[in-house]
Amino acid sequence: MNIIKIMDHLSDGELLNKKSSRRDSFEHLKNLGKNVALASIPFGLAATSSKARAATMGMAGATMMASPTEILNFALTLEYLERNFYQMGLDTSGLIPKEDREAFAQISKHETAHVDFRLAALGDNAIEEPTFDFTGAPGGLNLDTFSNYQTFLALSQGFEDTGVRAYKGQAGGLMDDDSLLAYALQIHSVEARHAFQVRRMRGVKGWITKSENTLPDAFNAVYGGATPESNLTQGGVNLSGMFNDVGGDDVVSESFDEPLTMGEVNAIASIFIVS
Amino acid sequence: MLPSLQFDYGGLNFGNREAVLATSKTLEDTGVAAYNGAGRLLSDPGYFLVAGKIVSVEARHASAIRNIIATGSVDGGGSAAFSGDDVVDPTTGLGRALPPSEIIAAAGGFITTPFTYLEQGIG
Repeated sequence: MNIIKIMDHLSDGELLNKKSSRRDSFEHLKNLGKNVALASIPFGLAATSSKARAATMGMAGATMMASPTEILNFALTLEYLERNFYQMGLDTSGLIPKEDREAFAQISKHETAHVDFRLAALGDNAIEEPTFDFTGAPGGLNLDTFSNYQTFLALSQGFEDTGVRAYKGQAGGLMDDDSLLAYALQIHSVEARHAFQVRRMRGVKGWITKSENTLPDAFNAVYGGATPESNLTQGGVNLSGMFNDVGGDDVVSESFDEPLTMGEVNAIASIFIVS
Repeated sequence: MLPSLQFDYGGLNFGNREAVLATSKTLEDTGVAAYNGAGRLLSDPGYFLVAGKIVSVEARHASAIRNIIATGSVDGGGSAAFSGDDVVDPTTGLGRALPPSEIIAAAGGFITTPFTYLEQGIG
């Protein structure tokens, strides 16, 4: 299976209308990957409001409701990307300073385990391993990823924060399966630990302040999206200006990480995917 | 709805750096495990979304505390403490997820107000 075709398929809003057999699931709005705009609807209304349903259907850029298998393959793609990236980094002599190797070895160990875990879960339904180019050539970039440690670190931060946001965006689609959901959450929190560590290694805070970042401009999307990291509305309540005695809007934005949709993650990942 | 909670940190000496750090680490790591274990119990997509937004921040906090304990620096000095094998399974790469009953056993001792359904005599 060609991963780019699958990614395009999953991001195609028109398919939303063809999956009529899952339309009843809209009543429970389980796929938060496309429902991120519903963060602005007060709790309690989201599950039942026909206005909410209309908002979901009409939402520009809404991704179709992905099946658990599609979500797992989406996750597997990202895990392949991270696993291969870290393996190549650790195998590149002279790239990672000695004092940082233990941290990256731990991260690499986890990403490898995540790939194996996903492969075991998917069996014959697993997508083929994609071919990656971490210079970003597929996306028109020319990064010195494995000859410049700062570039390697920047991509690492981008991948980890994207991974956190990607899992967050899809977890809702697994609400029907307790085990799959638990596993997704258990990987999601590990990616957040990775993200913290890599961010500190780059000399920035371990949590995300608004959408600020020190990554190359080409990666602004990692902190953007329909619900950008700068979002201050939670549960329908705009928290802006409400916590000035403990750090204000900066702290409010740091207190919540935001989801990315499948399409948004695809746009980032495909920069590094050859096929 | 929860009653207004009172907390009691018992013998914790807030003047003792090691004790405060150790308690902080327990609370943060337990917090992550609690959110991970509670996900399957939430049916409202709105609550689930917000819980999801919070748990990753708690995981970042947990990493910070673990780094300070292991290396004296929040940067962690390139060590693996942020996601050590004691809190992330080295075979599966999965973090912990614990059901509410186990969370209460780990952290409930700090809460003096009866708040569980059992304690409140509900259901």
